[in-house]
Amino acid sequence: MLSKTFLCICASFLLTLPALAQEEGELAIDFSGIELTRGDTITLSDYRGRVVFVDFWASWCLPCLVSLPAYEKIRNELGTEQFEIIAINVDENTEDGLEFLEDNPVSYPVIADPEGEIGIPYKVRSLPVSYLIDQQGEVVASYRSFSPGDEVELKRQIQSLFLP
Amino acid sequence: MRIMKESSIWSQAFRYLLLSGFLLQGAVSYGQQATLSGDTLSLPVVQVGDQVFRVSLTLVTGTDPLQFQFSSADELTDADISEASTFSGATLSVPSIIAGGVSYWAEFTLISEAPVLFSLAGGGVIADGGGSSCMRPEPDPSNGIDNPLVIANVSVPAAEIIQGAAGPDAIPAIEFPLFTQDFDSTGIQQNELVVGVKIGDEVRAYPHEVLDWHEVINEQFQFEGQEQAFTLSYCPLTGSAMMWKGFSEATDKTFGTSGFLYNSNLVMYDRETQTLWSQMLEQGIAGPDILRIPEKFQVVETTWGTWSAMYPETTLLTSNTGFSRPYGSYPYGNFRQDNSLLFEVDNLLDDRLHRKERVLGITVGQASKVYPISRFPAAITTINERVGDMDIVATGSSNQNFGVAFNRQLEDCTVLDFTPVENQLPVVMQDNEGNQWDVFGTAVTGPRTGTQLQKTNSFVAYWYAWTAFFPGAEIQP
Amino acid sequence: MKTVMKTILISLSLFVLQMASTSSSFAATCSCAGVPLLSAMDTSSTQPGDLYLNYSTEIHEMSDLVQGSDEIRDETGLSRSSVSQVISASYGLADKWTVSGLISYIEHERSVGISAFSKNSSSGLGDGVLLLRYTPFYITPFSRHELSFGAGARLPIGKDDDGGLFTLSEDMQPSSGSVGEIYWSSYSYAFNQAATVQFNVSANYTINDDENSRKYVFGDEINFALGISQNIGSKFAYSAGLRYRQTTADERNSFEIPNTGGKWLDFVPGVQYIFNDKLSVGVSGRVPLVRDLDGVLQFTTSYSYAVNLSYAF
Repeated sequence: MLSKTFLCICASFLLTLPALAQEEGELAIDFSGIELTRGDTITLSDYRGRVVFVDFWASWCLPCLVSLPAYEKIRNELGTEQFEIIAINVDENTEDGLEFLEDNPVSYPVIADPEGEIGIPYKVRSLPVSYLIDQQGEVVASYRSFSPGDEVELKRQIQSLFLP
Repeated sequence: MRIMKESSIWSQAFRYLLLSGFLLQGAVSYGQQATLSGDTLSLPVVQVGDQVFRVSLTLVTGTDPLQFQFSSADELTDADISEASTFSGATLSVPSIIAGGVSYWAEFTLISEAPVLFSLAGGGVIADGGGSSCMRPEPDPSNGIDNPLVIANVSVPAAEIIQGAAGPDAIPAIEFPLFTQDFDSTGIQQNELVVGVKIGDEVRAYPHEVLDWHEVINEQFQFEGQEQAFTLSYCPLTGSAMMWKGFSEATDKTFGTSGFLYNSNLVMYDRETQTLWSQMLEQGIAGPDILRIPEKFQVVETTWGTWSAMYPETTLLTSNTGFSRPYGSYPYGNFRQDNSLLFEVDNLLDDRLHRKERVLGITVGQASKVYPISRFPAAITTINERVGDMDIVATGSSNQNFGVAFNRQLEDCTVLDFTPVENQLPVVMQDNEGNQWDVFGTAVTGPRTGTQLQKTNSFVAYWYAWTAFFPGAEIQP
Repeated sequence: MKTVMKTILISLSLFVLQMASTSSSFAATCSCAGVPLLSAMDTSSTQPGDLYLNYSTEIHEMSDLVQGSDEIRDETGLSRSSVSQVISASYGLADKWTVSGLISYIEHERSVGISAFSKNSSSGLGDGVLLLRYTPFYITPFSRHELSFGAGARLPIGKDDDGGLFTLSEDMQPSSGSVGEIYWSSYSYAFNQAATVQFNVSANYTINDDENSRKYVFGDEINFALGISQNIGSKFAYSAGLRYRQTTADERNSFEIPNTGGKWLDFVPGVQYIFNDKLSVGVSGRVPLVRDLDGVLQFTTSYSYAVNLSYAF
């Protein structure tokens, strides 16, 4: 029946299963980057004490082109006292991301990550992918899609984290 | 068990004599002797297990084969059973019946229990009609066991009927065979195997090269004054060839390959009833005509060189079949030479011979013997011996690559002894009376010219197939 | 956009796992192939916790009579086809680890144009596959390369005897009746960051040492495939590629069955329609280009096509 070689391979695979990273409940990996339009340095840990929504996007990601304006709307409605959005553009050519922002400006910070210095630790494998981080810096939810209307539930989840 | 073949000439004569006997003679009593008088068959002593009865049966007119209905039976307490009839299983055996002054032996098969009906299954004349007598053993009509167990209308284990790769008629039978005498144009080689047939004045050869790809040929021969349907079959996996005559019914059967195999042997089907027929058992094994037995004709398996020397007037089946097949190529790789089996078969551990050793095999009742073709001496050789209760002659030659076997006891009970004849093909042997006989068992010179040796249940096949169907065969050293 | 799009791309691709495949043969004695190709499994890498389901129906027509490399006229009009219903699932066990499985339901049919018999057919559960995949690196917005290795087994979930009164040949049984070892690897390269255009190459090797209930052992099999796939907008995708397949002869009792085994080169195209990030539907096909079959005559694939439905949970 099954050869010993085959069974050994299967066994060795199972023994080396690594743990997943960046799961909900874990502390979000800190990162820094230069804001694309203003040039200042944005660091995640600087926003400790506020709910932060980290969103990875690119100009070639069609749902992203819908989600960015939707997130802007949420930000406008919720204000920035307890909440902020940090968008991370992963376009290989950052100019492509900037071009989109020229046509669809957002008020929240956008940093560039063409090399994946942030995206790789966050194990970004597809777009869009977003993380909701609480005031203590813990990941409370992750999102790997966006459809029109999703912003309603997202806003509710953000608000549920607000301090009274 | 002696069973009458369908439509054989002598069985028709027996029936005529039986009927004419009761028309001419009226009641005749012979005490212990069974008699047929009028339409009453009286069996004074019939042994059934430990009991003995006097039994009376009544002929059912208009039946063919003859049927007799049970009339009465009286148990006997003190009877001489030395020449008693016997009833065992479903067979009523009557060693002697007097009808019209002639003595016959007969066997009947119980075919119905309500009413109790017996059908005449076999019989023959006992020489001298009441004086000294012989009962010539007759070959079993089928090669299979008597009274096989039939389950779900299948007479062999159904799970052992396996479909080969291609399905029914994927190996197409030849319906319109074309023959030629322009042998050179066919490219046939002297050492190529052919199946040779002689029916009436028609002599035909069928090369394995074509048979390997079609296995079944439906054709016509002039026989008994009219065109009659015959079917030649050859199974390349078991190396066995048979010639069956049609049943002479309103619509003659045509056979095709069913795609099924039993013990790796060809299972045909007939298109009229879709009955399955085992080639080596030579019997229906499933379907409406289950257990039916075709009339079998002798074939000779040999090389083209030998066959064309035997019958220069022969015709040769061409590869102009209407099908695109690579006739120059053998379909099954090294199967003819190696020890492989493509399908599981019974008794496959019997390795007394190489699996693909071509043997002439014969069955007589429970007895079975094989003569490997390669073990015949180079020169033609005759082996006069007894297999089971039959005196047979096996004749063959390894050099000329043939082997045939016949019942060497004639109808008049004479048992002939044969010696080989060289260089006079198709004559292959001579008997102790001086008659010379050809490879089909026909006397061609001498006082018995025209006499036909009785065909036996014998044919050439690969050893593994023979021992699968007929285990425990004795092997000619 | 979820990875369903990438999944879709790769499910169109040439990462086809063949289970219990042998090549068709001609004569009644030789066991046939024509065991239908089981549907393409979703062989893309799956993110942890993701579950993908795929349902496909494959129609496989195997009526070409071939001598070596030449198709010859078959006057018998034999028609042989199989329909497979396959459900496959992939689940992301952990980062870089995916487990996939499939089960199948097979319907075989064979008829001969000149036969007085009605069709032969059989149906039942077929084989299943269980595969564990390791993907040391995968295509991401930051990496254009993906490499995967897998090992698994073909499992005879169904029966190799369809239960009819007479036993059908091996190729007409729903299941192979034997276990096979499967080893698999694939490599993909994305031409752009969006990975909307990809090149794929894969290979898999199935070892068949196990015999079925009639001591029949199917030949070992190796497949190489390469091709490209491309997304057109957000709704459509297509793929096109070549697949080379080679099988050894089937065996019984260690003897080769004649007229089994061979080499095939097929063209494999596919198109997909994407409803949304969860649901898509696609059609793929297989068109024989070149074949060189062992033995004297074999029946082999005329064409096949499949319709599949994918859903991402």
